[in-house]
Amino acid sequence: MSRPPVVQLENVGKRFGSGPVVLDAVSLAVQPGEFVSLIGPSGCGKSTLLRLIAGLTEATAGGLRVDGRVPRDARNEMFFVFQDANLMPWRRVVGNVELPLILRGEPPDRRTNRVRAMLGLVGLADAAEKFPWQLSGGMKMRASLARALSVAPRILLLDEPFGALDEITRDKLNEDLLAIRDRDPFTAFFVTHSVSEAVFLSTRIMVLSANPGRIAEEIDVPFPYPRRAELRESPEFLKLLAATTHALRAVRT
Amino acid sequence: MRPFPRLSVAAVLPLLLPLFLGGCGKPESTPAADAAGRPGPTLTKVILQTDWFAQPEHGGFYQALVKGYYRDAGLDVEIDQGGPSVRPQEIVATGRASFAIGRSDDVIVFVSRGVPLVMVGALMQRDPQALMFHEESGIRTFKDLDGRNLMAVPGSNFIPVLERTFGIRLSITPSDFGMSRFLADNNFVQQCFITNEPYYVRKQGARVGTLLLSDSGFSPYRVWFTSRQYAREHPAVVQAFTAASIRGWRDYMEGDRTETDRMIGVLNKQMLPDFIAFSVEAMRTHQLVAGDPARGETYGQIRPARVQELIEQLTAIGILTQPLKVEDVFDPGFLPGEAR
Amino acid sequence: MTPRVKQNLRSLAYPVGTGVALLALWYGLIALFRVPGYVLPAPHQVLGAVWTERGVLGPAAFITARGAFLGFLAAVGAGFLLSLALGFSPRIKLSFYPYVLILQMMPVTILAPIFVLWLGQGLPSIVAITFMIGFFPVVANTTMGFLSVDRNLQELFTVCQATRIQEIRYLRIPAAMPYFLTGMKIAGTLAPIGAIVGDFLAGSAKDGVGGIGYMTISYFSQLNTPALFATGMVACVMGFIFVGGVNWLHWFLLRNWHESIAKRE
Repeated sequence: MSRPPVVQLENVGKRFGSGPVVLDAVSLAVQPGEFVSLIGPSGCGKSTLLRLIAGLTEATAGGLRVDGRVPRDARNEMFFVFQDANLMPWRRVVGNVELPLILRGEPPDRRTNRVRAMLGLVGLADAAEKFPWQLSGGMKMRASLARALSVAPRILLLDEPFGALDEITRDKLNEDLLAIRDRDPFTAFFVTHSVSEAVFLSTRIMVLSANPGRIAEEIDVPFPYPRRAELRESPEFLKLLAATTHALRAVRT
Repeated sequence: MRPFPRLSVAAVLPLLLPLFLGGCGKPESTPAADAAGRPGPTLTKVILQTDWFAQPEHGGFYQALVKGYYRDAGLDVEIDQGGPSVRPQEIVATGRASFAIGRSDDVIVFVSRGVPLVMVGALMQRDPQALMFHEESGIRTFKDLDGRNLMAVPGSNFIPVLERTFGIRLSITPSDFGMSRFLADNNFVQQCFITNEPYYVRKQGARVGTLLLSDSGFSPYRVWFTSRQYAREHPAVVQAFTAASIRGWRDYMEGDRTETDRMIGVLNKQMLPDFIAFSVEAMRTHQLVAGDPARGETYGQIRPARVQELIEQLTAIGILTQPLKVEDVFDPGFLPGEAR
Repeated sequence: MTPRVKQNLRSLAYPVGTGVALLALWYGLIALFRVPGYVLPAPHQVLGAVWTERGVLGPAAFITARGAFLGFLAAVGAGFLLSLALGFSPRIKLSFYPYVLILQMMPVTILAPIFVLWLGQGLPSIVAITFMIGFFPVVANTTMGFLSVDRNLQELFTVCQATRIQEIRYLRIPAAMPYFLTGMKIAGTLAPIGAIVGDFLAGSAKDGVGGIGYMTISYFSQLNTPALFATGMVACVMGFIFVGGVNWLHWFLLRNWHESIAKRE
């Protein structure tokens, strides 16, 4: 069964002004429901690639289609989770999570229900009335996730969202993210520095090389969903982890 | 061109600090020399602090200087010009000058505040302070000022006295010591010297009317005063200075003022002959300096009855915190006989 | 007496003790140098003057406070709106900011007679002068606030497909609030000064009662030094209340979330 790819890149290139080429001839076709991780050394352009898909910046070469359209026109289907939780400090958690709904013109009662549901999903129901400065790093990221999910995006773009958190919190958030995806599926693009995280979450891992940024290798992750924490200790996981790490090291040279 | 001498806004800074450092103005002696350069009798050094830059309103003193009346009286007089930030009362109180010029109502108020001054002679029987307005405004008498806006120095004594005397209410605007607002607005009324501003605004084409404040029933003298201490320690000097100054004023008004006017013009570049002539003519017309002979007024005179009346007027408007008697503010002992 | 009360009393002892010492110094100076009352009045004379002149100083404080308040409101309101315009686009800022600067550089003493000519004596001119003094700090700070919004948050709004208006309303204005309130605090400190200075230049008085600036000149020309000091005291109290009010507003609006006020956990 071949569905049309929800995201398609053909020979996409990106350079900023007359600077060095950040991405070169990147081609990629992503099916709906995939979880694609982008890993690579610093400067390989993985964040740039994410932002191209999100339409936050424009490709200088090649063609990029999201849901058959230019990314700019497909914003309705996407949402972005930033590296920093990126919450508005002057609004409470509820206020932050409901922002996309407000901007879309959703009426207040619909908003309240949706927000409450999302906060329950990420486990922040008790912190709804708190201000960002009162939250831990993990809680802030959960709020950011809740916000992203509030509009039920078909495509979720995540830029190293858990990078600043400790391992235990990160692992927990990984599991929660997958649990949410199991309930309401979405296609995901995930940029990370953690190979373990990439292997745990993804259906596919793209290893990029730097200078210029290219896709060096593509690794399939065959484990079925739902994935539990125990997966991290299974021998198949550890073998794939080693292979991916090896691939990553290979492109560093 | 500035008008009447007043305590300018620029002097809100406590120039009162000098008062901390009390000084004693001991008169120094200068050896005099006669025409052949041989040493003569020593002259007593005296400093007169005026209240503004040199102007015809100080004419009599400069005349006495130029004509040698002070030297004849054994005095070496130095006339220090005043200005916007100069407070003559303080300069005398601290002894940095022997005499200074001011209005008798101001002297009375300052004495009531504890400044130990005493007036000893009058350079003008009627003060030149006046109000000027445009003829188009319809003002003819003091009563017509009711409800008007007047630019004057805040705290001026004549304001409450006028309001009381004529039963009027005035709205006061702090003086900016200029004339541009007057020229821009036909309804503008401002405080001035009758010997000064009208000349300039008429030159700009304004049709100006004036009301002399002395005509309102509030009629201070324009006097020279000294400190109590100085009067106590140098009575002969005070007497000599008083007599010579009166002589100078009489001569300035009745005699030949050419040399004096030239000196004033040198000291103050704005004093052109045309203007000085206007000033002196105004002094004559309004009988400012010599007063009204029909009432027995003459050069230099200070009448206790008038001082008393002034004290009563000032008490009535509540500005004197303690009751004052004439002898608290005026010592008649230095006036020559004909001036009493 | 609970330990807490004891501790509070102890901390209060420092400023109170210093105050008593300063008062003693004041009296001492007067006695030592035999300073006359018209130069440096004794504290009880000043307080006495506050009492005797209360019928004048009360209305004077009110007149000046009114001018300060209205000028302050105008500066804050117009300042905010102008900043909104300037923050709308860097190009608009580039076009107009130099002229705002020029207006700021013009000394108040030059502008005051111009205002009087256009607006007449009294309250309108005083409000205009106070406005001029407080306007620029508000504009300078608020504009900076509008233009220094977190880039990440801007991108968030792009992702949410927010319109320009939405971005201004939900992002830029709240983000600029701390800067705006800082500017407002500065304007609040300057407003009473502006009103008093404005009174010197454009004030008006009836029945011997004018604003604080007017009364200052009046008492000074009458050498009523205790009343002059009393006027200073009243001006001080008025300034305290004014600035205190603005500071309270700053605290109130930011207390929930701004790092300058909210305690870190």
